[in-house]
Amino acid sequence: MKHVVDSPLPQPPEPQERRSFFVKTAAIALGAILAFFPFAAGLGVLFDPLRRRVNGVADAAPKDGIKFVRIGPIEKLPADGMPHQFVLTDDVVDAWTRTSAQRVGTAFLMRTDSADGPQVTALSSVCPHLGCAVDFDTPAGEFICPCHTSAFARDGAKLYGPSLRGLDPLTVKLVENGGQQEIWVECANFQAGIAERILVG
Amino acid sequence: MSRFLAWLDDRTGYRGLLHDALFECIPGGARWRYVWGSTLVFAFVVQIVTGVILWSAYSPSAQTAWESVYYIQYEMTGGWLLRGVHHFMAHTMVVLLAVHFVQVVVDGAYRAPREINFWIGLVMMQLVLGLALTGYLLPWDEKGYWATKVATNMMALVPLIGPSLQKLVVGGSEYGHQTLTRFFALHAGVLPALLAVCTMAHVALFRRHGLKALEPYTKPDTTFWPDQVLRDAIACLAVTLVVLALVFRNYSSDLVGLPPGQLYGAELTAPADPAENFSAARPENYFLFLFQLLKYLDVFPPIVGAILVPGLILLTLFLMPIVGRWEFGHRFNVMWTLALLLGAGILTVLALRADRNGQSEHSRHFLAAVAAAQVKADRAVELARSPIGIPPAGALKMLREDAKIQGPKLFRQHCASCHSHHVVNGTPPDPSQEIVLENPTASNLWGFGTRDWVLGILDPKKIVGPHYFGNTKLKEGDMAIWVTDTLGPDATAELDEAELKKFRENVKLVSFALAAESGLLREQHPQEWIAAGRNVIVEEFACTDCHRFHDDGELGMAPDLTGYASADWLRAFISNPEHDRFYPTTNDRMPAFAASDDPAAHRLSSEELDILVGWLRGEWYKPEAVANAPAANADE
Repeated sequence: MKHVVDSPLPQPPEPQERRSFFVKTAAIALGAILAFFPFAAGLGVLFDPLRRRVNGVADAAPKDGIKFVRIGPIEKLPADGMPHQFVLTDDVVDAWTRTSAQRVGTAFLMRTDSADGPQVTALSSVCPHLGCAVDFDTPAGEFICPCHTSAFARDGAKLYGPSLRGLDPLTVKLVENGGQQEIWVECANFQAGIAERILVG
Repeated sequence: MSRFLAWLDDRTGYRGLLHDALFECIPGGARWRYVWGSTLVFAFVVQIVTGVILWSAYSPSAQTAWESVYYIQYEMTGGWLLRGVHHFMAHTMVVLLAVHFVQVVVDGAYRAPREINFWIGLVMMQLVLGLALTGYLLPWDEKGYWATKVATNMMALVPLIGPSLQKLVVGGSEYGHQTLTRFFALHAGVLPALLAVCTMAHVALFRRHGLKALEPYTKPDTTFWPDQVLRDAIACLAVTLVVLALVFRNYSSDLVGLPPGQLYGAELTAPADPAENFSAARPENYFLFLFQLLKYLDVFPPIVGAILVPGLILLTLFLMPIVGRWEFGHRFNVMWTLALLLGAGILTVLALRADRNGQSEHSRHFLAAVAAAQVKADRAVELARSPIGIPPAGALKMLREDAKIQGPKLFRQHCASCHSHHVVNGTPPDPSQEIVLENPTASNLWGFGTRDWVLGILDPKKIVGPHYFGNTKLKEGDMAIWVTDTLGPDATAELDEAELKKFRENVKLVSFALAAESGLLREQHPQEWIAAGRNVIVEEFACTDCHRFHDDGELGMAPDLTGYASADWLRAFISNPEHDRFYPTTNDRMPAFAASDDPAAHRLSSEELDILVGWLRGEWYKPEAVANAPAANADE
């Protein structure tokens, strides 16, 4: 007994042309809609990150335009004009998780004291080439990126290497708190790999 | 273009493939009854696409599963739609599976030469049910967690290998991270891959055998394209519309404005808590017949209902092609299939009615559990969306520290053998916060320390009533006597109109001053009223003859009125009511909950005390600034 139904296709009957055209068009149109349906249901989720500036929070730009985080009393920073690396801590919303005082990155701070009082400047430790973390090479007196050997002067100016701009300066604010001066530093990231400085969050 | 297509065909032979795929012969013409297989393929494709997108946002671990699903459902753009489509398409797929199966049996499409394809189909049915089961756990909410626990415990009943099998699937002896990673690997990897392979084999064999057309043929033969394709597409469109209707089934114009995640798509109950009973645990609707069957087979060992009976039924399905060779075999198979479906349907209805009739003790208990689960689920979302947010330790920690959810539980466990906690007249703002006792033997602590409470205790009728000292030995105490003698009708009868007005004024001033001691936001009153009230407490009413109040009076006779009902006062009182500050000699029956120097000996831990005190004071996160609303009667 042979079970395989391997008969050649029967000659399809001559369809009525107009009806067949309508059926074909409808089938293709419906098929396209149905094929798109599951993707349509997920489009919002797929493109969700585009409508958030900060992880998890839609349109949560800081109100005064610059977001400062506290470093501590000014005594923490020696007035030797040399870069010292400090950890930046901030309250973080990462998608569903809310964490307070999370270590979010580092910055290099430099202090020089003059007759006008202490002067503090800050540089982001993120290499503006492609985002590696730069080190300060004390003997050479310059910042070196360990990834693609971009080098920057103590004031952040570009010396050599592939980076298209110098290290990104961060705004520093000295705040009087209970008779003590405190250092606050801007917490910001800039787009890497380009000559302009564009804030990304 | 045509040159390119010719080139492509030369290299791939795609025209032949396309021709084979589209020009399958359909003897007797296209029919609506042939659409079911296609709808299942469509449903599977939708599940793959929506599933992979969900995958991009899902995080399988005990501290992030519920949290990431919450984030999809409530925060991500259209996440509720994506999750709703995936969830309800799964339900729809099970129904389509049943329809497809019945049709195959009724049409005799399981007989030679199609036996193997029938068996593959049965395997696919098991794979789909496996996908449904594993998917149910992934949100790690109360519902999925407890229902899946039952399923994995059933697995352990398999002879010999059961316990090992359970441990392998669960990833250990307890539910945890590994349970989720393993279930996720099964749900998103193993089972869909097997189902995809089986689908290919199923369709390939179907093409080899050809369509089992229903005779007699009423129309001339045709091909799959385009007539049957259009019918299939319309059927798939109907499936899509049904799924969308299920996603939007709660739509109502007066609910617009609530977060869509709360209204539409699949349910998300509160995060699973192994330390908490979930009396509303039920499997998904399509497993309810098994759930009900287990209840009826309780005279046998559990293995009978959990493994043996379902296994034997499955075996009869696998034997259908062989039974079908017998003269009346086909008729038997059809009858058996319908009987099984009818039986499953009846069991499902019985299970639903037992739960939802609202009459029986069982049903009332279940419905109350469902309502409580809803309150908890809503609260979990409210907190997750609040400035409190989900801590790194997960949403469960957030819920376990919430006074609104934990307060009533602690109160029931430690206080409600004597105290009640409910509004006396009028409707409560939130029934989930009420604890009504049939025979309370101590005061009703609703609004303790508020102006209403103070006015009540200064009311000669109320102080000896059931909501204050009526059921305690303090009914005959000095306070009750003082209130009766000094504030009662005998005392006021002698006053003339001006004196009576002054007297009423004094009671009111005392209520302002004493309520302000609580530090409750809603008891912030004008400073001059409070100062005047304090003066009445010390001078006119001479409360300080017995009570201490700031710099006046002594401790040791009656409770300290300084900071009365403040968080610190309540904490100290519950810790040890017989402390000098409270009732050193006249305490009725109230136990000390945290009096000892050794914290390990306390009946209430420090955290539990904080929660209980916060709850008694009504201090928990509220989305609107209800707490800051001025006292309603401040203008008196």
